[in-house]
Amino acid sequence: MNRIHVTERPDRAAKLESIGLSFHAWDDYWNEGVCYQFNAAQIDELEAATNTLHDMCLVAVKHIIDNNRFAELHIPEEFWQPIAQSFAENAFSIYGRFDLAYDGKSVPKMLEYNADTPTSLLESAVAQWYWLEDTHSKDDQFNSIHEKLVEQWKRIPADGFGKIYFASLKDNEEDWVCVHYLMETAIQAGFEVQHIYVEDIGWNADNNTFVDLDNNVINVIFKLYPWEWMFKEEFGKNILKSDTMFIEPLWKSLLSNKGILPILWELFPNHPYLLPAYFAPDKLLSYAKKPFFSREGANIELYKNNEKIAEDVGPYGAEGYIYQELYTLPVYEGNYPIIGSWVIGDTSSGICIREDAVKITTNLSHFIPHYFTNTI
Amino acid sequence: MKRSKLIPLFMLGTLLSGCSDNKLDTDEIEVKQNTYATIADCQADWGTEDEACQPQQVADASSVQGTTTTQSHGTFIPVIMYMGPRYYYDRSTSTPMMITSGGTVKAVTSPIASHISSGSSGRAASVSTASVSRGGFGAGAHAAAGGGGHAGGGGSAGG
Repeated sequence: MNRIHVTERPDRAAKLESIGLSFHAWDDYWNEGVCYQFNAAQIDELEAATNTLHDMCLVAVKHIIDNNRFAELHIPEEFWQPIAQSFAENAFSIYGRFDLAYDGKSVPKMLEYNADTPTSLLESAVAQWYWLEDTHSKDDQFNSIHEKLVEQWKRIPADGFGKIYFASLKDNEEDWVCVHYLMETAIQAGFEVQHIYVEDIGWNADNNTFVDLDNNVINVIFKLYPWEWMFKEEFGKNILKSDTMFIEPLWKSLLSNKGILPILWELFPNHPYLLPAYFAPDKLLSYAKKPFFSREGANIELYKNNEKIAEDVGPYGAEGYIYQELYTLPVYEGNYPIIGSWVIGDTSSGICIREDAVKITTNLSHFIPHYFTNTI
Repeated sequence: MKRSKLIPLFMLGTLLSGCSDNKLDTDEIEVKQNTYATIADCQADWGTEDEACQPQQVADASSVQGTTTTQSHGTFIPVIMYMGPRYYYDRSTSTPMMITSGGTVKAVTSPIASHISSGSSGRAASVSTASVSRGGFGAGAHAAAGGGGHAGGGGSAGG
């Protein structure tokens, strides 16, 4: 695994915008002046680790349900049974993204699983693929995300539900772009789609249905909006009354919860892909203190020998924290890369790399394209 | 090969200017929809733009003023009525608003605007209402806003 300086495409801005990546220049988010180079064995290792970790996570979800451990994850009680039902019914899921620490030499380590609302999807599936075509067309890339998404939509188990709605927040262009890319993949799978802002979703109390702005019933909706917020909001209780199919499904709320990390360590102690993690703060000297619910690195604190060495501020942490052994990320020219490893359905389907100049990867990180070759 | 063979995109590149479309943003409104006995009545209220008047079969029109229901051997024969667009009165701007068939919201400029403002329903034979509440999702993001991010603005729900 190498970080290589390469020549940027002179027309990269126009090319990125032509595929919809409108925010590529914000905070120099897209950086193709460098790229990461892997060999085939390293890619195979990442793929295998991702599939194994996803299987382990499904075991952990079943364990939480069977042993009624929802309270430890701060899940409101009224959602315990619906989550269990959702998992028992194998409710449809489209995607998730592991964040892995990896240096090409040691085995990958799971940092967390954003199984509910992962972003960076368009840049992973499309933007870095076009970069590869333009600059390294003879090499390969671990990225079949696009066709896996199209194929996964075709497995949605309902018929006759009309269109699929896609919800994102107002005033957030990154989320808007992400859901519109997902809409594109659903269209290619043969579905009719419609966007709606999260704030515009309506509730018709007369017939217990979620509705769009025309008051048409929403039967199926992909929501780029986390379950832990939905649980607590005014319409949260209505989820239990309605027949709307939500994507991602309710059971994914257990995986995006950082409480999954100590439970995985309990179930698979000393597994090479896991870092020791606990609910209690006194088991580790050097650790990452992570809120149960947090996004984009917010409110994570890093401690070495019980001394804080890094932190990212934010609004999270009211529900408490878990403690995960501190892992020294590899550093390349002062940059700390994190591997985002995509799961489409239940299958490892590609990676992306975001790197930051600090040890906590935040929403100010940079997206770096990658390729792999058999010649190194 | 572990890479996509081909990535066709049909929609994305054309949508970059579309992320600020004017959509309904209100906590609770009473959305109404008028039913008309004839298309002439409907278009007299709403005009002919935006496909405002749509025919609809009504199984039992006996309760609709100005119509008659045809009965044959005990079976009601459906009657064609005409539905105007959904609309509501925006109290914050004192403006009657309509929801187009595409889901966007615009001010009513057709003759019925003055009727809506005065609380009447124009030439309609009947009016149906649906009380739909909105804004019940989204508070978590707005509480979390301020962290910035590439978007530099509102709260992000993705990660």
